[in-house]
Formats: sequence, structure tokens, C-alpha cells
Amino acid sequence: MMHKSPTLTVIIPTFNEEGYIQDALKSVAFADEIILIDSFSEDTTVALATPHVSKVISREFDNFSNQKNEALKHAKSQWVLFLDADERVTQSLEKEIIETLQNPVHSGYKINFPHFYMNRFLYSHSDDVLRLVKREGAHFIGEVHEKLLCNGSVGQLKNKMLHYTYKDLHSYITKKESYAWFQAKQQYAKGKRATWLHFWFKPLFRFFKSYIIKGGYKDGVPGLTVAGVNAYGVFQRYVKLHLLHKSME
Amino acid sequence: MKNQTKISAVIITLNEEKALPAFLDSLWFAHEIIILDSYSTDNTLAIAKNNEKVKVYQRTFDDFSSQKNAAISKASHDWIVFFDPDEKITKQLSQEILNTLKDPKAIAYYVNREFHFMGKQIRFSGLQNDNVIRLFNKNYCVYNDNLVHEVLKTSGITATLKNKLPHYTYTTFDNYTTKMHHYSALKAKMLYNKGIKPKGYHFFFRPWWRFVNQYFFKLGILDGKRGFILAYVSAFSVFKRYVNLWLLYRNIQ
Repeated sequence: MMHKSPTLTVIIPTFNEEGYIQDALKSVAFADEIILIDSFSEDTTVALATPHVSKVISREFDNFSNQKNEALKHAKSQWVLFLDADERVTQSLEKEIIETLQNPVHSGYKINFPHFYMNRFLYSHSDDVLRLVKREGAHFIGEVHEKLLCNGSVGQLKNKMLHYTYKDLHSYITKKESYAWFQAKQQYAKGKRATWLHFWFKPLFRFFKSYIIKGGYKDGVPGLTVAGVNAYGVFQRYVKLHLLHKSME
Repeated sequence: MKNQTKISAVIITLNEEKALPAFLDSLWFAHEIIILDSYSTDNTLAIAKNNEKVKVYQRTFDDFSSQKNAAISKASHDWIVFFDPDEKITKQLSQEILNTLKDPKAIAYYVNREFHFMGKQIRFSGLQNDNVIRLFNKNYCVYNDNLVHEVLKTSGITATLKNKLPHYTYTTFDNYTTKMHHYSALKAKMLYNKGIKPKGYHFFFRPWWRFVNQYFFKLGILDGKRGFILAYVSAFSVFKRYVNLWLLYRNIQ
């Protein structure tokens, strides 16, 4: 019987996601509880989401770890799934999650994220990320690249998560640009300076990593664009760190 | 004595609330100010309407040439000054314009621009100065149909004014790169209209070449970190131009 299986809470952090949130919510309608943790969106995100969620928490954004840990405190189910507004649980993934939770072997499960970019899936950029965890003992660490930890062994789900990172080229780049500010401010707080070494080698290395090591070259122009924009994002981080030291914007 | 030649100052704007008040003051020598706004969402219009010399029109932006030609068509006088709000018209320059128009020897006048970036004047990089026409008789001049980097086509004698024009194109880094993104999208469209297809060397050679050319050959290296940053941003916008072109052929945004 279904009611015997553990319950599931889905946590969705949002900021200005009105174009995406409704489909995200639909894709996790099977959950027992949905918590939206919103960092004061200026669009209609919260209004669109409210009828479909169990709880909305508004919290000033400081970093992803704190944001998601706060939401965790409110979760009531035994299991928690973290979902971003631009991600979709497919029907087969939903089925696998339900089946897995009926008889869980591990206390956490990784899900594979292929990147959908410029109208194609990229072979080179797919990641396995821990997203489905037992609530007891689960928490995030790390300020920029937050990492989810759980108590116990970690397994892997077979089905993939749909991830729409790409709206159009311009918003993809401006997303990187605002992220660069975020990273620059963190480095600034640590007292780091932007040196010539950073300017010359960090972007080049990122390009190399993304295009060669991760195999971006197999993905044609989209793979090259990902590598180029990633390198540009790294470059911007150091430009912005440099600007912070000069009290400029 | 001859009457003072009447001058129409013409401006195109989009969200210029910050620069506009001082800029309008610097156009004190014009007899009317025509503003063609592409539907600003900030206080641009309110600021513009505060000035009694200003006549405001609105038009959806398509490209720089069409926008500028449309703006000129609203002017009531023959002589036009057409500056950008991020250019600083010095007292000396406006005085020179008035003096020149007492007895004009040419139908269009170039001004030498100085480029300022991140709070400092750029001395090298091939960006340190350029000549742009900012004073002209509209009966002899029209913007060509380039979507970006529009050029004023003249039929007659041109001359150059003596005073320099400081150009403060930088307000914030994000603002500067957004401008560059806009340019590379428009340039991609120009290439697309010409039927040019993106090839391997466009992606792999052109951006590097832009960087090497600007940073080494044009001595951007002597502009310090600013020179490096400018060269990198230019190279990236060349790269982005061809990605945009590639997207255009595939109907992807």
C-alpha cells in the first residue's frame, strides 16, 4: 500500500522564476509536501506558486546553503527532493522515485542532469548530483558551490532530470555575469586580489577544462559556446574583484 | 551683421536618466533639442520634458542608422549637432561650434573623441581616439544603412574641429558589456543579411586575432589592466557575434 511508503517533501528555491515555476510545480505534484523558499522575487513567482505549494518561505538571499538549510527546517516528510525552478521531474523519474522510496537501500540518491542547450542535449556536460535524501541528517555546506550531505550511503537513480538552463544566449551570459559579481564579492571578503596570473590563466584554464577535458569539442558550436562563456564568466569574476578593490562597479 | 545660424541638437535615448540632465545643460548653445526616445522605462522622458527647448518623440528602436535618420527628420533647422549622452561637450567645443557656424566652410565637421574606460583615459589599444561627425548640415548628410557603427554619408567638403570630445562610455562594467552584447547581436544580423555563414576560423581565429591585435599590435599592453580587460571583452564580443550568427541560421535564440 502507498501510505506505507515514506513521505516526500520537495524544496524549490526561487528568485524571479515566473516563466518557469508552474511547470516545475506540475512535475512534482506527486509529492506529499512542496516548500517554496523565495528570496523576495520582484515578479509574480510567489503568486503563481502559492495555490500549488504547502508553504512559502520568504527569506533574504545570502547563499544557497543557508537558503536551502532554512527550508529543510520546515520539511515534515522523511525524504526530501531539491528542485530548481528550471528543472523538471519526468514521468519516468517520478515513477522511479516513488518505487525507490517504497524500499530505500541508501539514504541519498544522485540524479543525472544532462544539459539542454541551444536546442540539443550536450554529451559533454552532464552531472550526477545528490538531490534526493533522507531528511534526518541532511544539510548543505559551502557558500558558492553548495553541497548536499546525507547520513549514510548514496545510490544513483537511472532516470534523468530535465534541466532548462538555456533561455537564450543573452540571458545565459547575463546569468554568468551576475554570478561573477557574487563570486567576486566572496573573494573580496576573503581579502583576495585579482593578479595578472588570474587574468591570463584562469579563463584559459577554464576554457581548456570545459572544451577539452570535459569533451565540449564533441558538442560542436554549443559545446564551444559553453566553454567560451564559462571562460568569460571566470574572466569577469576577476575583473569584478579588481573593480571592488577600486571601489568601482 | 548676419543672424546667428540656428542649430538643432538631436539625441536618441534609451534609459538615459543619469546622464541626461548634465547633457541637456551642455547643449545650451542649441536653439532646439530633438529627443527621439525608444520607449525608456526610467525617468528619461520626465527629465526631457522639463527642458523647454526639448521636443520629445518616440520610436521603436530597430537599428542605429534608421533611428538616427528618423531623429534628424524631426529637426527644424539645417545645422544639426548630434552627440551621444555619454559624450562630454566642453565649453570650448561648444564655443568653437558657434564660431564655426558664423561662416561655415564645410557641410560636416568631425570631432576627435577621447575614450575613457573604468575611470581613466585610454591611451592605446587602438581605441584611444576616433573621428566622428557631430556637426553637419542635414541637407547634405544621411546615415548609411549599417545596423551598427553607422556612418554619416556626406556629399560635400568636411573639416575637423580643434577641440576634443571626451567619451565616457563606461558607467558600470555590466552596462558596458550589455552594450557590447547589443553590438554583437546587431553585427551578426548584418552578416546574416549579407548571407555570410559562420565557419570554423570565425570561431577559432577571429576572437584570438582581435585580442592579439588590440593588446599587442595596438599596444593595449601599455594601458595596463584596462588594456587587457578591453582586449578580452572585444575578443569575446567577436566570438559572440559568430555564435549569434550560427543561432540565426538555426532559428534559435
